[in-house]
Amino acid sequence: MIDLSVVALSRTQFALTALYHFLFVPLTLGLSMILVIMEAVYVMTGREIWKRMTQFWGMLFGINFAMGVATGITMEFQFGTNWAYYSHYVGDIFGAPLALEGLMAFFLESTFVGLFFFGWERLSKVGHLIVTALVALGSSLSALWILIANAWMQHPVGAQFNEQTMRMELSSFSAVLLNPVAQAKFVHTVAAGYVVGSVFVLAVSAWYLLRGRNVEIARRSLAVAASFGLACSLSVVVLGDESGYLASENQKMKIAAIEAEWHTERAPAGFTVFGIPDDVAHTTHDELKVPWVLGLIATRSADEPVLGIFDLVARARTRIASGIEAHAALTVLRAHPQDAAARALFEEHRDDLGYGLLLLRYVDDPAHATAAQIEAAAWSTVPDVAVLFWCFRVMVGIGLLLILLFATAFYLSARHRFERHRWFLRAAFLALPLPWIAAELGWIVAEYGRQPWAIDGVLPTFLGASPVPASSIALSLCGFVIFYSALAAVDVYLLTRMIRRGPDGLGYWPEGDARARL
Amino acid sequence: MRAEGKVRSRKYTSAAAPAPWRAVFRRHLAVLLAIKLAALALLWVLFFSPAHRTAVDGQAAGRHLALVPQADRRD
Repeated sequence: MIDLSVVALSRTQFALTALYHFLFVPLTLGLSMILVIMEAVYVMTGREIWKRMTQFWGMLFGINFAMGVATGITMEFQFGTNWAYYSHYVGDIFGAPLALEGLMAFFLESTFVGLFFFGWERLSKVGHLIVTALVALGSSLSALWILIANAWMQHPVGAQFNEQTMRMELSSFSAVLLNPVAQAKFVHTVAAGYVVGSVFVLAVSAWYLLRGRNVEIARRSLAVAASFGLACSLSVVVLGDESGYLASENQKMKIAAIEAEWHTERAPAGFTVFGIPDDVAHTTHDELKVPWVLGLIATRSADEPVLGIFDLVARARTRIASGIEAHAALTVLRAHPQDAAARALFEEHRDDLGYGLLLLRYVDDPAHATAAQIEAAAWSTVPDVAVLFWCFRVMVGIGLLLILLFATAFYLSARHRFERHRWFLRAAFLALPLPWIAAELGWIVAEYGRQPWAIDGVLPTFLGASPVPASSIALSLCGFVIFYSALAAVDVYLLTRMIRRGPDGLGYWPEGDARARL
Repeated sequence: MRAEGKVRSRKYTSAAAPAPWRAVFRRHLAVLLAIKLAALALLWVLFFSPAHRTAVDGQAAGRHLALVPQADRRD
């Protein structure tokens, strides 16, 4: 039997490193695009202040980039050591986008980041702007490849299981590349990164305005962050809706869990704004529902139902029964590859093999599973409803709050009234951590909502883990926590120190000039 | 507006010499990057180098997924 404590430790380690890594990534994504906007204004208008703004925010981008670069490599360490069976099973497909991501991040992005910092005096205005745009493109492209790999875990396409090698093998690279889940995830994640960058610029600029420092730079930066942030935060809603729609087609259980939809309602289903999901009693207490909304969002129709958890568990039960047949046929087929009857039986049930594998958590041989074990395996396909329900609602709540923040900023920016509304400047500064919280919650919804699968419907997570000693994982987990905490603390310290010194203290823009214009 | 921009530009170039903090800052960043890479390398050597990996081939994966007749199972 599988040691589930090792699986839990491996999962915790992977989740923590991914969450830490994602503290750095969205700021890099967002700031890189804001740098392009600022420098484009400089190239178009020739005004020195826009160049100095690009350099100042670029310096903050550089700190975050330097601290964040290579923090994702620890996840690749773990694939080989903690997730050896996963790597064997799906490495053929998963490895290619990961390798391309490495190439993009380490070579394309890093090369142009170097040119961005050292090319100001060596390149023409337009040449440097192209370099800055390539920095932003490189950041986004490395995100694209990692999200293609991740989307394949959510919706495995373009691959076929080879029963002799025991691997999923690539059958269509274009299907993996053009996976609709990957496209929706990419634009949603990148837009969320742009929101993080915008809130960062907005909050820091508000802080300067509150102190009457660097006013000229802060006003312009605030205007850029307000307009770019408003566009991006609205895009996040639309693109997130697309992600949700695709999940309602491909990962129905995830949607049912996010919505705590225990029973299938008559279409169109209502959206639960508030409730207390009870994973033990399989119900939601004190729920407050808005009629129709969930049905319209999730199915984009008024007559298609959103399947509830009970119905989906019943489906899982049927697929587990079919998976038992697939497992038994595959066992025979591996010993006797020419067995035509076993081949025919396996082909009939191969799509449900993953469901049969769920039983290995409860029994050594799925063929000997009892009705109770099948029932337990069917219910194991339900992720933690309460966690998903609340993470999703807090994420959406923060997203709506940020739209309101950007809309107010945009209005005040258009009316040149920032300094008169100090309450807004304080609110903008206090909003600084919100987009990170929303982004991390988004990852929790996406990845925790995929459980119990490592590869949706194909490979249960617990079967992907290696039999590494638990003590070794616990020690490396401590090492990662210390390493990443130190890195995050240094990142925050350096950013804070440079922000406190500001463009005036760092020589990017003379403070006296700005004060005179107040 | 264009004239205003030019005035600002002149003021900046006359007021600001190359900032001395930059060299120090770059040195600090380089040291931090070196420490970070050393810490990553240390973690890799201690916990993730090939010596810590489980070798998995088709046979091992088959045993792991109980895809062998029960009499032959060792995993």
